[in-house]
Amino acid sequence: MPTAPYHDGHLSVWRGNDVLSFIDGLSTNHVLDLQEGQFRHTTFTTAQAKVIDRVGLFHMGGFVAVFSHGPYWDSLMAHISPRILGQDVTISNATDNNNFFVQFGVEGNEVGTFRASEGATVAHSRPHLNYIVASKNSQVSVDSTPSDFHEWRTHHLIPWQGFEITKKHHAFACGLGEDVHPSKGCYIGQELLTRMRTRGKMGRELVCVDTDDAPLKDVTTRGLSKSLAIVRL
Amino acid sequence: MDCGTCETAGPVQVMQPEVVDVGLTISDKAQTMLADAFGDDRSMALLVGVLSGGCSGYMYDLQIVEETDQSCQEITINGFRVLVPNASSHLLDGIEIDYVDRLMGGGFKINNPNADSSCGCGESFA
Repeated sequence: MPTAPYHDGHLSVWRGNDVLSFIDGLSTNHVLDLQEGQFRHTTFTTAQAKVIDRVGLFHMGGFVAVFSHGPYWDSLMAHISPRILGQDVTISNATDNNNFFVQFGVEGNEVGTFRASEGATVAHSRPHLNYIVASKNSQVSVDSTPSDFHEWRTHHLIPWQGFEITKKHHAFACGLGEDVHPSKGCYIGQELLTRMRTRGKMGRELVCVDTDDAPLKDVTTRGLSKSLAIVRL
Repeated sequence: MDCGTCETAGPVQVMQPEVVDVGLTISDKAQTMLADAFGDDRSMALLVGVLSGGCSGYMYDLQIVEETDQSCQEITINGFRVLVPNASSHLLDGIEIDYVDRLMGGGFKINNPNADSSCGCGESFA
């Protein structure tokens, strides 16, 4: 299984009785029922349903570890920090204690779970794709490069933060429909996303196209033979 | 990731909003409804707070309580005890607590001069 470093990974530790309800109230996926040992993605969006950051939640029992993306951390904090108010939520930054990797082309991973061994926690993010969060003193063998990973995900229509997933697009256009729960309660951006889904009008869509035919202005990831683009429907 | 790395993680500074002295009013209709809810027992209090969430990012939280663990300001209006958490005082200064009497969408309603926008249902604001 190819494993590549992910240099933009960010890890924070969220503690308190209100953590899950706090995240649930501000993001697209239903996370109130997240149990210890489970991993789930959710996306924080603006009032215009544009993506601030897509995060992965590890329920560690006593706390929730939040995998996010370094370049977007300040934007995420600016969004959530004023909304903590008096709720029982405290956040610590564990990024400097860990290294981050992606493992792709994985067979038979049980999506929505994670396992930890010798300082490395492997989250089964989606079919064929794992995230690895490894403490600095643990060993993870790397046999691939970020370029290889981006080439692979292009062929599998997998959006990635900073490429397809940006504040320029709403969650559906980025290819994050799986993060948008169809029937959870209100959150910022929910009205727009629900309207788009019920009317079947997403405006733009993530597609995989031949690189030679890819419309330059719409391309988000350019691969050798295939590229990803967000095109108007 | 292991327990050691998480235990030693440095705290993230989150925004600590300024605590303001809250002034608020309760409409006559809302006072009538509160009187019905409280009965003769004026030891109970109306807790008016704000939680994160809702379409607009903040949601009102109204509860009838005896006491609360939260650090609150206590305001007495015509014998009614009103508790406002300090953590959300900056969002609640100047509000009017009203009561809307209609079959759908009725109930207590907050008119908030600090809100730039509100959800259609009136429960959340930004």
